Amino acid sequence: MNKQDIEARLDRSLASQLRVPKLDRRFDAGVWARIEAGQRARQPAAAMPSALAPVGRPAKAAQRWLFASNVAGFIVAAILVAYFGMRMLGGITVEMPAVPVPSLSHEETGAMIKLISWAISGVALAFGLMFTPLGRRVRSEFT
Amino acid sequence: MKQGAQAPAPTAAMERDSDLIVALKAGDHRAVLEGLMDRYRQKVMHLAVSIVRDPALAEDLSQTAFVKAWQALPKFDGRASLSTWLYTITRNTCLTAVERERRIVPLEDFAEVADDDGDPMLFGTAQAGVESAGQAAAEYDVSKLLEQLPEPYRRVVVLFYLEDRSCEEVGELLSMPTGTVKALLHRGRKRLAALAGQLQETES
Repeated sequence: MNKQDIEARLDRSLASQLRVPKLDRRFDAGVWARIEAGQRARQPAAAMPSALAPVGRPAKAAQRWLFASNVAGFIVAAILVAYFGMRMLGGITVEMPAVPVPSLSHEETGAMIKLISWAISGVALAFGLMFTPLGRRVRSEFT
Repeated sequence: MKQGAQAPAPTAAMERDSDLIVALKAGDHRAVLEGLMDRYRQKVMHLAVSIVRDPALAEDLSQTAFVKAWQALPKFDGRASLSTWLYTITRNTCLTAVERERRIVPLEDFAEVADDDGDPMLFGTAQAGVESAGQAAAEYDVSKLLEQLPEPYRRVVVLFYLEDRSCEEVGELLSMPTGTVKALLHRGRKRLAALAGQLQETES
């Protein structure tokens, strides 16, 4: 068989064997099903916010407070650095004022630790109850 | 409908899809996707088959390409035609799938192939009439031959036959000049013929 015969045979083989299934509306239905499945998968995630993440107005208010406290902290730190820095650069010895510390007895310290422990336990319990169904309902009444 | 001052010059493909562009500007994305699937589902499938070579996987990736097109429709800026944009999404989807399996030779390596010898359209037709009946009945195992053909040639050869032997259609699907398609096709078929010759020698 010569070169032309091989080429002709190859051409025929390619034309007859290279076939692809004909796609129809079922293909389109499959695409729409995948799109809808994707949208359904995203919806519950959007509708169910994280239990700890504040949403809506409280989130914005919290952001504002955080920003304000950051700014206040930054300003105070800048003032202190500037004040003490200038004094040190000016050759003035910086001495921290002696703050009088009250002396506590053993009984008083024990009573205070007990009080603080009760307070922390109470706050932790209340925090946990906030995320129970009842707590969520109560919170929704106030937000 | 507003016409932007810097709108690109409309191409044939853009004119063909002008109704879909109108629907897109009206925000009717569902109609646009339906129109795209109606017109291009088979071409997208051909393109996917030419890249991944597995019809079942190609169909799956074609659907993925349309889903991605749906998600990207709001960001379509009209710089290219909708069909070119869709083919690009399909190519990228398929190439990503293939790259995952590390079975690819970069297409860019073959971008500068010159159309140096012969007309690829005449391949196999010169002596087709002089074959004996026995020879005409026999066929090569194309899948076995294509397996040995390097990737860019294979892609062009497969698409050429799937697209009813139109180099222009292949060029549009692969975003390649028609001259490059012809050159790749010519060389690809020459290589295939050489492989077929070797196969025949082994058999006889």
